[in-house]
Amino acid sequence: MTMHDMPAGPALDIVRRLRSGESSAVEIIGACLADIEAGNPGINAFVHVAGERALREAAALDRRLRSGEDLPALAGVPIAVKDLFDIAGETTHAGSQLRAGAPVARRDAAAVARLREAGAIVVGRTNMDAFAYGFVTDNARYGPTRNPADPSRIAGGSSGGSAAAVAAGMVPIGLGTDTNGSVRVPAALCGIWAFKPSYGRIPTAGVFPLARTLDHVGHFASSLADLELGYTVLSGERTAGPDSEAGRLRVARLGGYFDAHCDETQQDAAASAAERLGAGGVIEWPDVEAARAAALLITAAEGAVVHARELLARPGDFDPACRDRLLAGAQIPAHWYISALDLRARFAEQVAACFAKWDVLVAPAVPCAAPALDALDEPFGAERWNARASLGLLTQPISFIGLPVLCAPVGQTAVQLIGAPDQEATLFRAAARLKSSSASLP
Amino acid sequence: MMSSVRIPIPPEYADGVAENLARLEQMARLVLDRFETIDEADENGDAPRPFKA
Repeated sequence: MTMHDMPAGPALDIVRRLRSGESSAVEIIGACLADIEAGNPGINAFVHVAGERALREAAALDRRLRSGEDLPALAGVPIAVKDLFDIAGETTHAGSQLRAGAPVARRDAAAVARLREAGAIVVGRTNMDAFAYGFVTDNARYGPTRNPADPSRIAGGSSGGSAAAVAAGMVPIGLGTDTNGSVRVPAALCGIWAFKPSYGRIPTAGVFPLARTLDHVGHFASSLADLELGYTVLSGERTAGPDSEAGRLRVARLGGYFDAHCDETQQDAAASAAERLGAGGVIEWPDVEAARAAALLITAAEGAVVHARELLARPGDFDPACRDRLLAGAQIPAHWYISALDLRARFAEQVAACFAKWDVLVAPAVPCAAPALDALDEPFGAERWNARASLGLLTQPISFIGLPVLCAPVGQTAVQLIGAPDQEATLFRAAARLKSSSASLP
Repeated sequence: MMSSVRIPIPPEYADGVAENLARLEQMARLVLDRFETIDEADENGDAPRPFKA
């Protein structure tokens, strides 16, 4: 089922129907909950559905509407939230049994609060890799999330539940996080729109950390218009608006490392997007392999810091998929970590130079299409990649230096549109141009 | 007495941790290779620079 088939509809349409009186919020949320009840057993996107609370909030919204109140931008829009964000009154499990006895959150995470203040209704928490440390969303406690396009395959991770919920048409917008690619990898494997802004653009307050100097908040959407609306609310910024296609864009395709680490389908997708954006050339970044290596070291070291007390006290309670990596991260010598930080500063300077000439860079987001769930530990794809270790090969070097990235669907995958620091609006302009070149893009 | 602050590797997880540490070491080598060593700087007769040119 796609978003266009569902009773609730895309976010902008929901808000229009609510404001016009065509539908009530209770009807919209009721339809969404029915979709989740019907579709979730097949893909396991949600680990907890807050139906009663969501209907209560919808009824309150209907009362506001009846009293003549102006409704905010996301009024009545059902939202899926990764189980890494605090939601007031609920326990944030972060995908781990270690958090089973944790107290409930006293307040919403900042990103969740912004969405709710804008009238969005959180319908449930979504599945993820334990502690967001992975790219597959195969969780020891909750099981795997399946790709809505082919349930024998993964949806990607670590924000796989939110991506699958959007791809399946259960909700128009899903909230995720991206430390090394955890929004962009599932967006590409599910073929949907997604956005990860510059590092720090959306506050991470109330988000259970993976690696503090790399963690970003991001989101998925069923259409570009909803993606932009979600970003406007999450960031408090205006993007390009209705004339978003206007103006000259200098576009190049990222080659070299990015061509070498994906199969022909992904290369073709990036080349097609670049061509439709009128790309003026193919460029290469220096030291990308070392940058990706440094991102892995920083993640391992900072991740171990977050979990140091539990690794000492009860290592056996960790999800096996992340326990050994966190224990290994705890052994990293200081000079590895500090050298990785130094390399990050230099890599950011080297990359910044290319944005004097280019506004947008196009790159593939994943090495290949979604691997099968029963073959995650087998080599796959043209280069015999290991899924667990390799799905972030093309995303890690970019989030490493905090650049904004918009994932745009191309065929069955999605490609990365990469911008200079803090140039989010430019990426929405590029995405609008890409959408206008393809009648099939939502 | 103060409890340990060093995180041990439980024997039952030693193999998995060793495998992950070996991978991290490969990554560290890629990173550290970008830095100039004191020996390399001495060969050039310069003070060590943070990165190889």
